[in-house]
Amino acid sequence: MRKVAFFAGCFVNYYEPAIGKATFRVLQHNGVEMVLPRQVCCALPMVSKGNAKGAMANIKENVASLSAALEDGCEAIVVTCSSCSLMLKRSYPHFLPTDDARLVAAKTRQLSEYLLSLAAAGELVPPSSPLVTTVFYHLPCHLRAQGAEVVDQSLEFLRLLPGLTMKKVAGNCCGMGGTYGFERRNFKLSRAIGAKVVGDVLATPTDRVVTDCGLCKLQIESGAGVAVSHPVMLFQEAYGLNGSEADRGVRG
Amino acid sequence: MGAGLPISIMEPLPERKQLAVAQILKQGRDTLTAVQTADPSAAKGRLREIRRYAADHLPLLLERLRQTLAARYPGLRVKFAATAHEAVDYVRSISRGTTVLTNNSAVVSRELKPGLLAAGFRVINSYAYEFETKQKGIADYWDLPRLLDRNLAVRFDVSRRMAGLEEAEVIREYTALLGVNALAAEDGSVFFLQHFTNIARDLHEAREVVLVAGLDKIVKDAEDALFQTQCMGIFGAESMLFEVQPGAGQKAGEAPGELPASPPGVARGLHLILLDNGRHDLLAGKYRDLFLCIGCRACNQRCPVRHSFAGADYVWTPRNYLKQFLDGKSSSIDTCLHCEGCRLACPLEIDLPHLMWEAKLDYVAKHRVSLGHMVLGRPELIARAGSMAAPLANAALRVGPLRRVMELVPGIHREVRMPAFHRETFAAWFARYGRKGQ
Repeated sequence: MRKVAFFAGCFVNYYEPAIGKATFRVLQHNGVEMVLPRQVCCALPMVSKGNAKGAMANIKENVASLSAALEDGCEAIVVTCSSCSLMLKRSYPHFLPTDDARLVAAKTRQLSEYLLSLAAAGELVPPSSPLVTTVFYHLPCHLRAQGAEVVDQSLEFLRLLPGLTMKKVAGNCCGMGGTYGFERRNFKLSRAIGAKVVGDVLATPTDRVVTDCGLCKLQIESGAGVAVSHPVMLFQEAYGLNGSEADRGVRG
Repeated sequence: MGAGLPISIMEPLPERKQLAVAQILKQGRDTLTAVQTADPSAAKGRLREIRRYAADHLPLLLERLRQTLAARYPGLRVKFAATAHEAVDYVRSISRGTTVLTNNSAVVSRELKPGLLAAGFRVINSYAYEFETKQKGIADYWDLPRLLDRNLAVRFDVSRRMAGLEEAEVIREYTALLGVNALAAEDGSVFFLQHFTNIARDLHEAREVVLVAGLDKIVKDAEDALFQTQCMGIFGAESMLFEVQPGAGQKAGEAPGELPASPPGVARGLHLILLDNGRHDLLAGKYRDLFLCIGCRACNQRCPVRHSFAGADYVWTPRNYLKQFLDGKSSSIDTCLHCEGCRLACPLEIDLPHLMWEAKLDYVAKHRVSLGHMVLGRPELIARAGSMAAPLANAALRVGPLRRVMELVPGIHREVRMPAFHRETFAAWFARYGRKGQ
């Protein structure tokens, strides 16, 4: 049986556990065991706000725990947040140049990447019924930063769902930049940058707006007044798995 | 007159421009499709080799260049300037009475400008001047929508070759300070990329012509220098537009064309300043990769905050923003929001996002971090506390009083929609259900 380690990240753990639950159910539906190694914040917000000491402590703690999970038979570290996955892949070996950190980086997969690898191996369970829906997909900057292949895969992943029509793929920065847009001095600028994406969402009516990033989601939701959901929520629904109404993210 | 120093000016090939413009006129601008494109990955590979060689062999290249210049162009006045201050002193010493100076938009122009102003020069950016006075011509020239996104790579090639300064009918009383795009150690040849006509005119009319090459502009031979300059055009073409927007902060000032003619028989001077100004130090430290930069400004293409790099006099790019901070000329590195667009656009894959972070961490190690960043830099502490008090914390975050306090203390804007905490974290849920397999 395949086994993966899930890195939840702060957003899923504290603010949107539904994404984690859906990930668990979708993996389980595909016969993949998911474990949740001991973990702390990926450290991206800590580095960006200058908390070097805290960041290094977190990076070391996560690397120790995640590399142990890999040794323990996990074939990948699966992440649903595109900023956490970028941090693990790119910045862990930068700040902690050890073999363990490099191993963690090499084995980290965005959930869409991982499930597509299952599809390529002919092991992905096809959804039992079509999910007839139109989608506006917002590509987060931190997913784009993982390379063209990952971008392609995140789109390909959604296209695996029969019945789904991708009406628009938008790639402009939403301006949120983690907590950058929270700050009083950046608020106006952040909103101004996000205006393009928000305008696109409003100009392109679809059943759902989908993005992998929790902070992009916040920015789009507060600007456009529509619910935004993570790709995994659509998979959970297409599989007919347990998920509450609120989890589904149908545009209100 | 520095007899014979080979100077080449590169420009976009006219037929490419015409082809693109014709297509726009015929089919409308939205239908513009690929005309041709060079393989950018091959170009990037070669450029990387050129730049790495330059970074790894600076002492060798510099020595070679000095020998070449002394042997072949004994009339050329070469000044090695360790600092911007030394360069300015030299410019003052050779300007013989004139206090009018034109420059281009090169990085070295920005480095030398404060010193020149302090020395009493009137500094005219002739590039910006042309933009302000020749709007129509420039529109024809550059108004090609989203060149790179549309796979329309404009080809750049040498449009003019000179051997030293040419004879001019009218010599004008000013000093032209021109940052070069590349300088070949092997034969001393100098390359410029020109978008308007300012470089050619300054080379043709100014009484004193001072070529300024940052040490990072020295490459092995003329072939490499030509290619590097071509890349400056290919990768930077679109970004040029960002800088020449009206009202973007350029102050051209006096028109160089209206300057008085020099008396008949006056001799012109050609000078070359090799400017270090921290470049050797840059090579020795952790920001070494900035030495690889060719100044193409591709990093600006996707930068969502490029208009906010304050004080937009000259070229403001994420790269220059970082450099300014490292040089102690600005106290903030927090305008960058780390989208990583600059790294993806850079033909040399300079890791600006990590360098920005390193700069931030270095700064914090020496100074105090702001209270706001102290709070935001501990996201899990807040999240844990919020989750424990979930329904209450969420309600409190929706009302005015707490938000006003949050705006004052950690500096979180009161209108920001905060994400809602959950009483049961995902980890807690997983501990209850996950292992059983719900």
